[in-house]
Amino acid sequence: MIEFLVFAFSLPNLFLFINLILFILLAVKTKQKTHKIITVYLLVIVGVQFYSAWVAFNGNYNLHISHYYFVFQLLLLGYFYHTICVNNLQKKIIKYSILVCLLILGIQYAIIPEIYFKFNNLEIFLTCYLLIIFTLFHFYNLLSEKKIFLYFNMGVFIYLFGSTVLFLLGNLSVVIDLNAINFDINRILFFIFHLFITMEWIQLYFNKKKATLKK
Amino acid sequence: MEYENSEIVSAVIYIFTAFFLMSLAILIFVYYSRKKIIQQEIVNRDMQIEHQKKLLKAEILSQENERNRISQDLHDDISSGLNVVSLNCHLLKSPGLTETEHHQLTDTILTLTNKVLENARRIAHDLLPPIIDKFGLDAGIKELVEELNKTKKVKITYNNSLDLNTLEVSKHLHIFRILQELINNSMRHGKATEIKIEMGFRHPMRILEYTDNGIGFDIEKHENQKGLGMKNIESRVAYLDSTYTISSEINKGVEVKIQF
Repeated sequence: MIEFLVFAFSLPNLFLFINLILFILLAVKTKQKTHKIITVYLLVIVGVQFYSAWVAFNGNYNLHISHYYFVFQLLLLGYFYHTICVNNLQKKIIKYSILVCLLILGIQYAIIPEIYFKFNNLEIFLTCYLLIIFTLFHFYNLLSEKKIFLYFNMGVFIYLFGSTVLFLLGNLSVVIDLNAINFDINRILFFIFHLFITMEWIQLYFNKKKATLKK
Repeated sequence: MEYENSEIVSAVIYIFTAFFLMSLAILIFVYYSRKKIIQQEIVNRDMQIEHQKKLLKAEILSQENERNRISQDLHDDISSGLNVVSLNCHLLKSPGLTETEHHQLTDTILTLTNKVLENARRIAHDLLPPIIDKFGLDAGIKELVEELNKTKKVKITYNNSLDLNTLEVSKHLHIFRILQELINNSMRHGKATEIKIEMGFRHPMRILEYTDNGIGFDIEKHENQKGLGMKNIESRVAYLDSTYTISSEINKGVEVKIQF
């Protein structure tokens, strides 16, 4: 129990909590779809974090929760990028690639069901890679648009890039003990990710309505 | 042991593929971004050229308007007045005038010429307030503010902590005209009742701050940017070699800052 509480109130988790509260406030205030999606995404992360920690600290196996995490992450962030995307071709790519990805994973689980109890490398790779492509779409669109969700996008990009490699190494823990270092790097990445989310919140919340024309 | 090996192989293959595909994605991204940036630059340059053309047109148009106004003023106030004067002069030449008639005619001619003179002075004043020439910009603005305050439609406060005599004389008129245009806009479109004009020095530039309490406008709306008045201000600012910022919000008035 104490171990669980120490985990729950660690710095990255507090950060996550703060961000969740900030985005709930923002979503209530602006009632914008994109803000709501980010809020739900943060809520899912909080749920996954605490449920998996709770399961682990009770001495049970928790790897299967990672599957829900990756799939929900893809669905929610995919939906988010689909919403903010203005390019029709990109919208279609986002929609169909997510569908194809889910189909492939469904087939994989049907053929090899035992993969449910370890890290599924294909799942990690597909879900994260697609999201990285979506972030690149957004970076591309930002070249000519107003800088909206820039920080959030940067955070997602950096976090996914790093965490993909870390998670792909996850199954190696049966061979060599990477857990300690893996865990630390992941915490740092997670911390950076949430720093970006907070910056995004600041941008969104204090967005000046007053327009200025400069010549 | 075999199981462990296959895990290592699988991880290596996945990590390799992931890195390979991610770098590929980034390369494609860079390629398309470059293309897009170049296109954007071309569009921007075209817009700049278009903008300059519009400025030029606006300048020509306002010059034409000004000429029209002058010709009308000359026609209405000077020519017609002088016409009546010449008519009266002809009457003077007609024979058999009594002393009183003679007197009346010269009186009319005198009052008419005085009136024409007054009008000519007014037209000249409108074209270029002589006070700017004689006493400088500061006095000119003070006079303008005083005249407008007398109308009671607006309350203008003017503060100046600059010594404008160090400013090149050619710039005085531009600043004066910009202020005239701004005040005109505030009163006509902004329905402002209070206007504040402040001039001061903020290192390394002189700054003119103009604020009103009018209804403001939406700067992002295109039709608000293409008015003749705004264009005029812009080209004058360009003559001053200065920069300006306009900020406004609906119902929050207008704030203009000019650095020169």
